[in-house]
Amino acid sequence: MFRKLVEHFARRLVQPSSGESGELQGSLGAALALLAAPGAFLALGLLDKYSSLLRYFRGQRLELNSFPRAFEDGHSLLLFSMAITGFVTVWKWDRILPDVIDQLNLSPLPVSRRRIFLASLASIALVAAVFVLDVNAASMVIYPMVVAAGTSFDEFIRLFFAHATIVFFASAFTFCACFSLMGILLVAVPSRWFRAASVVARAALTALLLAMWIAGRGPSRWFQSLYAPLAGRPDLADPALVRFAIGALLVSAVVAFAGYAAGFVRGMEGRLVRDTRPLRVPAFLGRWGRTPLECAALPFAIRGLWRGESTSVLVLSALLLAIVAGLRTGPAVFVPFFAGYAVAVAIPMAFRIAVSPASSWIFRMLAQAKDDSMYRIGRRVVWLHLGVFVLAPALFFSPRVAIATAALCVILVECLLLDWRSIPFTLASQAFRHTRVLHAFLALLGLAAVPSLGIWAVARDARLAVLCLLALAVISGRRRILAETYGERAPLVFDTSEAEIVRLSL
Amino acid sequence: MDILEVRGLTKRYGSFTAVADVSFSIGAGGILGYLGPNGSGKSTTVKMITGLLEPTAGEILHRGRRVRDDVVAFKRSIGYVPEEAQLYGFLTGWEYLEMVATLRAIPRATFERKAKALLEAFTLFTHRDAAIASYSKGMRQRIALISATLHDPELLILDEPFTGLDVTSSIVLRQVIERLAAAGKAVFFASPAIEVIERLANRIVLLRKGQQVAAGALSETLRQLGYTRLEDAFIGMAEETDTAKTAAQIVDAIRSA
Repeated sequence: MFRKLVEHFARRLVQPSSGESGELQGSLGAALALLAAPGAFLALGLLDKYSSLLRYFRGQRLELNSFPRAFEDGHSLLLFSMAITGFVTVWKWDRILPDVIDQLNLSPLPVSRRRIFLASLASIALVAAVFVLDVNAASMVIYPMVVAAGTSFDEFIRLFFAHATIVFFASAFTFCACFSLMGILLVAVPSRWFRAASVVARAALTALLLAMWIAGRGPSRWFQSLYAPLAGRPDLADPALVRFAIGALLVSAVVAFAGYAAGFVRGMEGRLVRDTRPLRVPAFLGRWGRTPLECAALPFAIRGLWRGESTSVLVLSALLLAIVAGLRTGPAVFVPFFAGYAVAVAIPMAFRIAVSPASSWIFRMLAQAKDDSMYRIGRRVVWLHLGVFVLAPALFFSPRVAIATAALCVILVECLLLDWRSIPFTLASQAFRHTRVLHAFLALLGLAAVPSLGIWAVARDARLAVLCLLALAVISGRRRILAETYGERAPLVFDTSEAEIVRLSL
Repeated sequence: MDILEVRGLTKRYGSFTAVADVSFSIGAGGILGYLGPNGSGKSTTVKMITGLLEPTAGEILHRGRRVRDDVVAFKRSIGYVPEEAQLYGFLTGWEYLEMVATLRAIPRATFERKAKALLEAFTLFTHRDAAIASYSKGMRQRIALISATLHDPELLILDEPFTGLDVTSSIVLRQVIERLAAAGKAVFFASPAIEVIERLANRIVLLRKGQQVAAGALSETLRQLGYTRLEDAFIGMAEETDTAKTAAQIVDAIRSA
C-alpha cells in the first residue's frame, strides 16, 4: 500500500495534471533525456580537455596531476547541477504540496494521514534522487575519471563517491533552500496573498539562480570547498566555507521539512486556498479598441497574463534577470535596455501559454479576424507593460535613454508579433510546447546581444537617429506585410486539441 | 444499531456558522435524504462525516463507536462520491480504480473482476485506458461511483451524485441505491433534487442556512409539518428565496434594454 502511494505521488510530481498517458510517458522520457544532455556535454568537454589519449594525439604534454586544474571545472559541474535543481524546484513548486484533488481523493480512503505524509515525502526524495542522478549521470563518471587519471582504481572510486556525494548535497541544499522559501511564505503570508507572493518569489528565485549561474558565484563555492577534503585534498578547502556548507544544508533541510509539514497539513485540509480576488484592470482599457472584440480582449489578455502563474512567473523572472544583467553590464542607465528587451520578448512568449479553454470560449464565438485586430491586441498588451515597467522609469534617466529604449522595443515588438493571429492566451501552441526550451535559450542569447544595440545608440546623436530610422523602417515594413497578409487570408488559429495548461478564474 | 449517528455536528469558520447542531442517524437499509438549498451546509456536513473537514463541535458515531477513535476503520466501511468528481487527470480510469483498490487493500483478482463488471455496467469499459483528463463530467462521476463501491461499503455517502449523469445512468443509479438499501446498506444522500429524494429516501433532514429545520421519517415529517409534498415542505421550511419573484426578476433583467 505504501509503495503504491509513493508511486502515485511520484507520478503526480512528474506528470502534468492532464493529457494522454502514452503521450505523457513519451514526454517524461524526453524530459529526462533533455535534462541529462547538458550535463553530458559539459562532462564530454572535460574528456576533451583532460584525456591523456587525446592530449597524446594532439602532441600536448601529458598531465600527471590534473586535480588542481580540474578543481575549477568541478565547480562548473556543481554550479550546473545546483542551477538545474533550482529551476526544476521553482517550476514544480506548486506540485510538491498536496492540493484539493489529493484531499478529495485520498482523505476518504482508509489510509492514515501519517502514512500519506511519509509516502509523499519518500516520493519527493525518490524523484529528487532520480533527477540528480539523471542530470549528473555523465559527469559523475567522467569527472572522477579525468581527475583520477594516472592514479589507481581505488582513487577513482574515492573521487567518484566524493563527487557524487557533493553533487547530491549541493542539489539537496538547492532544493531545500528553494522549498524553505515556499514554507516560510506558507506560514508567514495570509492565504489570500499566497499566490501573489508565490509568483514574486518564484520569479525572484529564477532570476537569482540564473544570475548565480552566469556569475559563477554563490553557495556552489561552499560545496566545492566541502568536496576538497572528501576527495583527499583538504589543502584546497576553505574551512569556513566547509562549515558554511554543512550548516546551510542542515538548516535548509530542517526549514524545508517544517515548511513541507505545514503545507501538507494545510493541503490535506483543503486550506491551501488559491487567491480568488478579482484582478482589477483600469476601466479605460475596456474601451480601448476599434471593435467590441478588441475592447473585450485587452482586459482579458492583461488578466490572463497576471492571473496565470506560469505566465506571470515567466514575465517577472525575465524582468528581474534583465535588471540583474543590466546592473552587471555597466551603469544603471543600461538597465532600461535590458528590461525593454525582457518585456518585449517575454510577453509574446507568454501569449503562447494557453489558459483554460473554458475561459476563452466567448472569444471563439465572437472572433471574426479578417483584419489585423489580433496583432493589435497583442501589441497593446506588450506596449502597456513596456510603458509602465520600462519607458516610464527610463525617463528618470534621460529622455535620450527612453527614446533609444522605445526604438529598440519597436523593432523587437514589431518583429516578434508579426505572425500573431490569435487572442493572447487562447492558443495552446503545440509547436511552442515542443520548442520552448529553444525559445528560452535564444531569448537568453539575445539578452547578451540585443540590449547592446541600445547602449551603442545612446552614446551619440547620429547613432540614435540611425536606431530611430531603423525602427520606422520596421514599422513601415510591418504595415506592408500586414496589408498583404490580411488582404487575402487571415484564418484565426485555435488549437482545441490541447488540454488546458493554466486554469484561471477571470 | 445505527450504522451512522451524528450528534450536534457543528462547523464554524470564524464568526460564520456553516453547519449548526445537526443530528440524525441511519440504520441498515435506510436511505437518508439530506435536503437543502445551495449553501445550506449539505456538502460541509458530508465533508465532516468523510473526514475531509474537522468538525468544530459534535460527534460522529459509527455503529455506536466514536469515529475519531478509529478513523481508518470507519473509512474502510464507507464509500464516498463527492459533489464534483475531481480525480487525477493524469491517471487512466483503470489506473485510478487500481490505486483506490490497492489503498483499500482489495485483493487483485477481486478488484479486476469487480472493476471490469462495474466498468461494463456503467458503459466505461471501452474508455478504461484513456486518461481521466479526457473524460466528460458524467464519465468522471461514474468513475467516482465505481471507486466508492468497489469495496462493498456498508455506508454509502453520496453528495449530489446525479450531477452530470445522463438520463440512463441516473435511472440506473436510482435503482442501484434502492437495491443496495434493500440489501441492508445505509445510504446518506445529500442533494438539492427534491423529486429524487422524495422518491428514494425513507428519512429526511431539511437544512436551512446550516440549521436543521426538520428531520425524521419522510411521510411522518411531512404530516407533522402539514404538507403533502416534499417540494411544498422545502419551499415552506428551507427555501430562502421567493422563487416566483426571483424568476420574474431574472426575465425582466434579460429583457431590459
